[in-house]
Amino acid sequence: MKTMVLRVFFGGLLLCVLGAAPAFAVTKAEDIATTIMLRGQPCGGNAVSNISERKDAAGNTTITATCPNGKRYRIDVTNGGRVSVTPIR
Amino acid sequence: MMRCSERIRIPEMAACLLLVMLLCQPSPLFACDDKLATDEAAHSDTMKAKTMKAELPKKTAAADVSPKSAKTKDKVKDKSKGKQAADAPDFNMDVLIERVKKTDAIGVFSKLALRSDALDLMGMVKAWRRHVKKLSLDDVRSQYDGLLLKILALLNGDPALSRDISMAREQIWQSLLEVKT
Repeated sequence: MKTMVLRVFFGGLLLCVLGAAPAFAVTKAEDIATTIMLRGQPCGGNAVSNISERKDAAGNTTITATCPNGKRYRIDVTNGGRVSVTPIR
Repeated sequence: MMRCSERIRIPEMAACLLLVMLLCQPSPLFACDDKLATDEAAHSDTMKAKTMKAELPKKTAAADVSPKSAKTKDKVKDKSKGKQAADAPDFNMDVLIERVKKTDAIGVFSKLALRSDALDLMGMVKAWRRHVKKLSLDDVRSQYDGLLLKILALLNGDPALSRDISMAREQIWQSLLEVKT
């Protein structure tokens, strides 16, 4: 009986270790949705879709993404690190 | 035929499986225990190595931060907050900033947005100090509380850092008012 219990215990432990994933890595979709909400815009969920990103020569980044509520936003990140969010109509 | 010693007892098996499931549940507390330990170790090492930059002189803190024309109400508040800061455990602003920069609980763009908010807050403090706008210390404080609330809400995945920031709330506020640039 003891052997059986130990087998089950260590088997389960092994499965847990193998199945363990980094629990708190934030995805890009979640990150952008959080940014939109941080700038006071409604998003309707915690992850965006249809992300497109482009950088210009000056180092400014422009991201466009669609929120779960259907609204589309443009996120501008300047080369100085300033972030602004604008709804696209 | 199975011997008595080899028979599987259902209740014991169930208890064992339950124990395994409980141990392996990917709860935030379980996942962050190791991180908490390493963070605390790193924190204590750096605390030993570095001097206390942001530590306040207990008696003169309130007098230093308030401008000449500030209301007496603000001064009284500052004094009480200074006492709270003195009661709180030691903290190092640089270490906290580094930990916020390195945490995985907040994404890159969110960190940049928070940085923008922090810069806006610094601008508000400057404006309050120079009397550029009709800002009261309460306005600046409410802005600071809002920003801290945002940060703490985003730090669900890093409870150790969240706890340290919320414990150092008053000290961060005092060091924010002390910045003279």
